[in-house]
Amino acid sequence: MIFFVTFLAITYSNNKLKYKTMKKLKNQGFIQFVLLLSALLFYGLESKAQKSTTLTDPEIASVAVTANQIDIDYANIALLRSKNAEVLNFAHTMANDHKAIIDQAVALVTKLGVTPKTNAVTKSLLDGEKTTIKKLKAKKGVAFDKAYISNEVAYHKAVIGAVETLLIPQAKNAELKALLVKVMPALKEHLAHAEMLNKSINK
Amino acid sequence: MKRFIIITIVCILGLLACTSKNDKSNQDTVTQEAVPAAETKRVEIQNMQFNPQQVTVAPGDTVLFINKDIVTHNVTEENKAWASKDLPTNQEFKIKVDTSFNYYCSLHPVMKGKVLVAK
Ligand SMILES: [Cu+2]
Repeated sequence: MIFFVTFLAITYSNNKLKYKTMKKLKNQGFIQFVLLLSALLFYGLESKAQKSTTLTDPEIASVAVTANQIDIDYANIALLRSKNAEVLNFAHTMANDHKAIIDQAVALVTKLGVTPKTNAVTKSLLDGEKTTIKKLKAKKGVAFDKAYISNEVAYHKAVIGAVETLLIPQAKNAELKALLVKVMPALKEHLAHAEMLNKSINK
Repeated sequence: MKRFIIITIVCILGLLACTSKNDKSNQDTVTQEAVPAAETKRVEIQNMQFNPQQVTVAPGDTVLFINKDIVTHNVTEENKAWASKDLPTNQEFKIKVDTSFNYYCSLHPVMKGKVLVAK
């Protein structure tokens, strides 16, 4: 009898352990996927830009506006789906800040008489957005919050990388370059904010 | 009848103009008398930072926060005891200080600062 009870207890705890491990693996899988996605996105940005050697200023303007608009699109999904006050606050900030950056960019290109030109990098950004939106819309509740915030971490890392290593060095017009430099602190603060939330919702 | 309404409106407007003018001049004198030696210290919000991040003031001094960024910020006491309204580019917020406090921007919680009152 004692043996039987012990056997039951061991089986039970084993199963619980298995379940926990599976859940953990699933989470890790997702994180790996996000990391891969961001690596691909960054790699996509880099290789495409290198292939075409340089982005022209109108192309840089298009990439900048698109990258900001994508984060507004993600924020708008979060504003509809999340119930977490901190996630909602973050999403509000993303929507407002990236709109302010777009407004600055549009004001500058208007002043310079430049028309943003769609290019391979813009297209790869938009392709990435489609995939991410599908993933986000398949989730609800806490699972959505986690997916949204970890994507924000990955996305801001990728955008910071692209702005620092591609857009700023390749911008020819001094005012365009200056604007790209000026938005860097905001992008970095957004990343730190997203990382902070990532920790608190995964506790 | 029409004329009566117009005259009434003109009178009310006139009265309003007088009272608001009086209020203003009253306030000016009061502030000048109450805090003759108080200083105003300026904190600029720029590049997603409060600059300087720490200011030391005398009791009764005023701290003036001014947003020089392209994005909106605010000034929120650490424990949310009080908060400024949201400050778009070039908007200011003033607070008279008697005790030290820590603060942050609730829109960008990574941004933090400190006001110290020297004894
Ligand atoms: Cu802020």
